[in-house]
Amino acid sequence: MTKNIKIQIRDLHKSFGNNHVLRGVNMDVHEGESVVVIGGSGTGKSVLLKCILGLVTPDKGSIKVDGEELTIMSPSQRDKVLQKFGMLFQGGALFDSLPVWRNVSFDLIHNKKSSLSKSREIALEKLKEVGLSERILDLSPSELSGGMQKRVGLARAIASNPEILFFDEPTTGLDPIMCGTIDNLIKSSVKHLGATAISITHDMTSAKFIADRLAMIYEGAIIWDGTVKELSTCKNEIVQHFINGHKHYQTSKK
Amino acid sequence: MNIIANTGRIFLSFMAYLGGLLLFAIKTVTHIIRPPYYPSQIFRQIFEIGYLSLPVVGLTAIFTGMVLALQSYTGLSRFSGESAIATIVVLSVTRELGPVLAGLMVAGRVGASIAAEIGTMRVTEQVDALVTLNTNPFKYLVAPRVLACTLMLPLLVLCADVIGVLGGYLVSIHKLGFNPALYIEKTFKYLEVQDVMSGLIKATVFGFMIALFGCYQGYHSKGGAQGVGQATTSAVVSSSISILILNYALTATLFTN
Repeated sequence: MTKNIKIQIRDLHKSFGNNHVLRGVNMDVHEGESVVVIGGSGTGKSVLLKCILGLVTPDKGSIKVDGEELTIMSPSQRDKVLQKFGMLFQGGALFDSLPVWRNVSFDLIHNKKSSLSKSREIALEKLKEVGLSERILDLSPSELSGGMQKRVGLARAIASNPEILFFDEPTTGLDPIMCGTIDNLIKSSVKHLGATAISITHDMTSAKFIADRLAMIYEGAIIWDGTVKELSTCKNEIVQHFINGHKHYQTSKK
Repeated sequence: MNIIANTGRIFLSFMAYLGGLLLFAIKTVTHIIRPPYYPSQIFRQIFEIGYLSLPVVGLTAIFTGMVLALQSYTGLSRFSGESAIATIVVLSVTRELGPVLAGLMVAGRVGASIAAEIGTMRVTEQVDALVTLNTNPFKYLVAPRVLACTLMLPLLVLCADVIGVLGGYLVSIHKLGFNPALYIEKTFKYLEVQDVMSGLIKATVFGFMIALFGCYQGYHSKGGAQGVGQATTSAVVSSSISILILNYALTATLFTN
């Protein structure tokens, strides 16, 4: 990989009380690359994303985005860096006090100072990109199904054309067909924007589909990373256990 | 030993809470002052906190004024002091009952709704989503609510003053048989600007505290529906208690002569 390193994480630690969640995470994400972080529940996947976004302050370690150190930045500098990010939350996290189109164009209206009519147009364009129709523009998020909320969340994440996209459990709680749709949308929007993406999931089907590269987080550290091909030949016991556990589960379901 | 350790632990966690609250308050004030502002959010909160609280505050005020006239009559008639009813009603309402009762009612109505709304936004990651959309939650959620509540409570109390005095007037005229002109004259005879102002200053402080507790508890709520419920309860309880304590402190230090 000759491309620049977009996000570099070194020796990242974070504890909540006695719970040492991140224990020295090291990770590089290259420009335009889609990395999927896999791992069981409670292994620190979400905390890792939240540390990068500054929603959680790490205890120790370094996070660099485009070579700029995030952990020592002033709030105003950090705000500038944050403009590069877009994120799709696990539950969608749509603002239920606002109609769908205002959700999608939130950043445009409040920060980019674009006019309401133009924002509405852009919102519609983004909604169409994720396969939704004009009909839902004025609906409230609570009137939408789970899958639709996720898609609106995705439209909102890509609305201001971010350089870096984060996906937190994008397929959790959706039916298999909707999972496939969301996976396709994620892949196409990342490609379309040329964005760097980090997704966290424990859904292996989704992970293999979205990822250029996979990283396994276990007990607060990255214990293995490699491509999807390398995953099947990987000899790491913990990784194998994680994947096979899933396979057993799938076959037993059939 | 255990009792001492527990007392110390409770004391320390209380001090930590106070420290957290103070830092939150300072951060809120700086965000109220510094741009960018969200006028649409501020107006919406002014409408929701100010205008929509008017019926509750008005009802509280009118019945308080009415019962005040009745009770003072019962007491004062024992030594033929009925003529002081108008003065007692107007001074009690403007100096004390207006701000405190309006404050408590607004704490129940607005404090709870602020804590529940921000708390739900916190547990459903909407607060985090604001950050990823380059919007500071303090500026967008906390500052408009605290500003609106601080501005609106004095106005609500002013309305409560008028409605409360009207309640006293209605009971005195129609039930106790007072002369309307005389009652109105007595109402204004001993009333000073300072009486009304002291009530309004108290209301400003209470308004700030109500929204501050609501936002603080909501912002720090954890763990789903139960957490939001706890945040709402704590917001109402702590803002009500702080109103009662601050009311005494303000009266004792500033408004007695």
